[in-house]
Amino acid sequence: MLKRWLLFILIVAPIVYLLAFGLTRNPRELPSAMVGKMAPDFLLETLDGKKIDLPSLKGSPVVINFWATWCGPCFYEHPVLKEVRSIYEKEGVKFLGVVYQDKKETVVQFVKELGEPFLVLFDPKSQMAIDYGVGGVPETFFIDSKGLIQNKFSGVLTKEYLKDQIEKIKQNQ
Amino acid sequence: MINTIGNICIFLALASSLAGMAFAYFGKMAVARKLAYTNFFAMTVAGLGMMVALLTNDFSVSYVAHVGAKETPRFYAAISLWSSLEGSILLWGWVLSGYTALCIYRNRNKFENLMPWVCISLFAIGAFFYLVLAIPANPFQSVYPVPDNGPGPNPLLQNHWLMGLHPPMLYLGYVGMSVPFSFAIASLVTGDLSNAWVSITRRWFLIAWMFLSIAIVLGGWWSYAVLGWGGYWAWDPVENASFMPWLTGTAFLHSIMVEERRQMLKIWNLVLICMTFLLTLLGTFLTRSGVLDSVHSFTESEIGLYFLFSIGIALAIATALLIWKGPQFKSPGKLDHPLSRETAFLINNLLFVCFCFVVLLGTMYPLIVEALRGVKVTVGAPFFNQMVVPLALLIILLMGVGVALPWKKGDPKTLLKLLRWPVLLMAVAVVIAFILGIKKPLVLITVAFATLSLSIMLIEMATVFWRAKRVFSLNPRRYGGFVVHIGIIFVSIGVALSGNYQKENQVHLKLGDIFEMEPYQIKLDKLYGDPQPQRFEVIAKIEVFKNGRPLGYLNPKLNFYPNNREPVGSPAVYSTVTGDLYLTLMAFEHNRLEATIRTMVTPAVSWIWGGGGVIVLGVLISAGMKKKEGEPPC
Repeated sequence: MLKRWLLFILIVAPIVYLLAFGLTRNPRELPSAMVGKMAPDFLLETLDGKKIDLPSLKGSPVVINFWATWCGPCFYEHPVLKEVRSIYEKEGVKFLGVVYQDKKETVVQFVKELGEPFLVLFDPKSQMAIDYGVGGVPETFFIDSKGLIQNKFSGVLTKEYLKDQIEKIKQNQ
Repeated sequence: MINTIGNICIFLALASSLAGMAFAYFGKMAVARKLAYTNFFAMTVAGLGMMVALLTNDFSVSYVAHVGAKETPRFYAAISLWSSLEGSILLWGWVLSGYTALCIYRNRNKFENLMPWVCISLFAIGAFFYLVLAIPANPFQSVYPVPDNGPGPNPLLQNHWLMGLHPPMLYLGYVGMSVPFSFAIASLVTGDLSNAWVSITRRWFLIAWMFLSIAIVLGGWWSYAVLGWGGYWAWDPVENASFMPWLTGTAFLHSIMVEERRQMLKIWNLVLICMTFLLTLLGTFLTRSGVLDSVHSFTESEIGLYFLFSIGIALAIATALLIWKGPQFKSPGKLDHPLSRETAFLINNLLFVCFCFVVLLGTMYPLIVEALRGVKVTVGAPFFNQMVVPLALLIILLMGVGVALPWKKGDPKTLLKLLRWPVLLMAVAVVIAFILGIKKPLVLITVAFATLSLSIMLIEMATVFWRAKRVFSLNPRRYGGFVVHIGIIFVSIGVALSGNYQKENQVHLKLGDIFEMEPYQIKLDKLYGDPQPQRFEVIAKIEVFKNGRPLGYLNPKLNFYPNNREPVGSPAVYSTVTGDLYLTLMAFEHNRLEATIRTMVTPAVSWIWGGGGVIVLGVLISAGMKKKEGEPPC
């Protein structure tokens, strides 16, 4: 009898565990070669023409979100970013949204209607996106206060994941 | 309106399945049967309702709002029923309700002992699908405000007529495996494993297996005709998921003959049926949950949890029944002689199960490694090719030698005598292949084994015809099986030649330029745009010559869809028995004077599609032709 139970468990448990484990992961998430490296420098313009570069942000944890108005999933993570920013901005975390292959006028309209969850930066020739190895939008980079890329996430952010990652880059001060 | 009808039908199907289980359990089979018909009626109304909604662009139906578009041509609008998650589950449930009703109707006066459990099992599988349709994948949700238009189906799925055939065939194959599985469960519960059980289970299994074979071949054809990479099989996780039940199913179709003839391998056959069904569920899980990255993965959704639950339950029930109830079927029979057909079938089973294990390991390996070590790895085609080619070659060899062996005990002398001509023909074929330029050892071995097996079967069929003036009606199962084997040999030759001797070039042509690619010459004649309601096509009109003789025009296209950032290509193919010329428009200059064309010349691709047709023919002979009275099985 015991032998049969053992056989039953040995067959069923590993298969169910493996498939259940499969549900917890994102198969499209590829490890980024940038993780663990210093974030490449950039010099981009904001909506009102102010210039921003990476050295000016040193000392603060930074969340950089690559997005576009034509990107459906970006629309869904917009409110998440807005909400999380309102919690962490006062703690010194910087939120940047780099516009990826988009027109300025549509971005201005988009932000006017739905609010600005981050400081919007334009990357007209996608130079920054190339430097960061962006494969598509939305993609989010988590950079600690020393300028080290701690993680990269492709796809729609959830509130829990975003907060969890921000806590991690905050710890690394 | 359609939303309401659809939802009522789904709930009716769910309720009739649950009630059907209860009535079948209490032996009220007449009521259970009526509930199966109700179930089928409800799903037919739901399925047709969705088709009407898709054809009339009723965007108040959530599924239509998700995949419909006013511009989509009517054929693609109708088949977009299976272009996305909810619709494909609806079709799944519809097919299952059809199988359930048909199985219960055809066996209404048979298997008194078994049928209640067959019903319970089929209704339980149905109840799961209808529950998924009712909650996480409901295609009939109301959309308000009703949008003016929708995004249209995935561009890749509205690019070729084969999309109208491949998914329904796959569903007929996958879902069809529910019937033999239910018979297996019923026999395990009741202890009834009579010869009639074997016969009925084999027949249902064979039909489902045929649909699965068609689906696999059509899937390869679609990939070849649409994706523009010139190949047909990429060892994609979901391709593998359809191939694995085919492999265990093929093993079963052989080992069931040993059970019929020698009363052996009874438990093993039940294991193979259960494995095949569970592998179809695994395929569904992989396709619908987004566990593995694949071109087939529709979406990552909560539906994964439902499928996990269903696989877990089915696996647990099947394993428990096999462990606790299986031993009652232990058979006393044993092998009489190593040189016998039984041994050939055993080796066949070993090879197919090893084949399946290799494919399963390669498919699941990334998941296993990540679960154990947290590292992401990928398993590519080289692993699969290296591992499965030797197994496939042995299977080809066995297809001929196995059928030449007699039951119980073979005589080496007779066998050697039988093999004289086939071996001679094999040698001739290898020499001819070598002269024709085939130098790769593995391809030569394929040609050798294929010729040997083919000639053994053709010689036997010719001899039988010479003596009796008929072949198939004499023993439809045996000679139908031969035809299936011949189909598989065609596919194998097609795969070996096309996989090893493809020539590929990428050229930048100006209008009027000619590119030479032995034995073809292509000339870029015209580059133009053609607006269609659902897309904008950029077409390269290319004149094709063979050894200087004009053959006509091929028109590879790039299609621009409003909801897709990247254009979707439509390759153009000139297909012959010996090989294909395959052209893909890769890029074009906006001045309409220059284009980049990828050209491929691939030998024997059409043998694969033709082989698929021969397999179907063989199954139809084997399952459909009347058997002579008193004739022994195979």
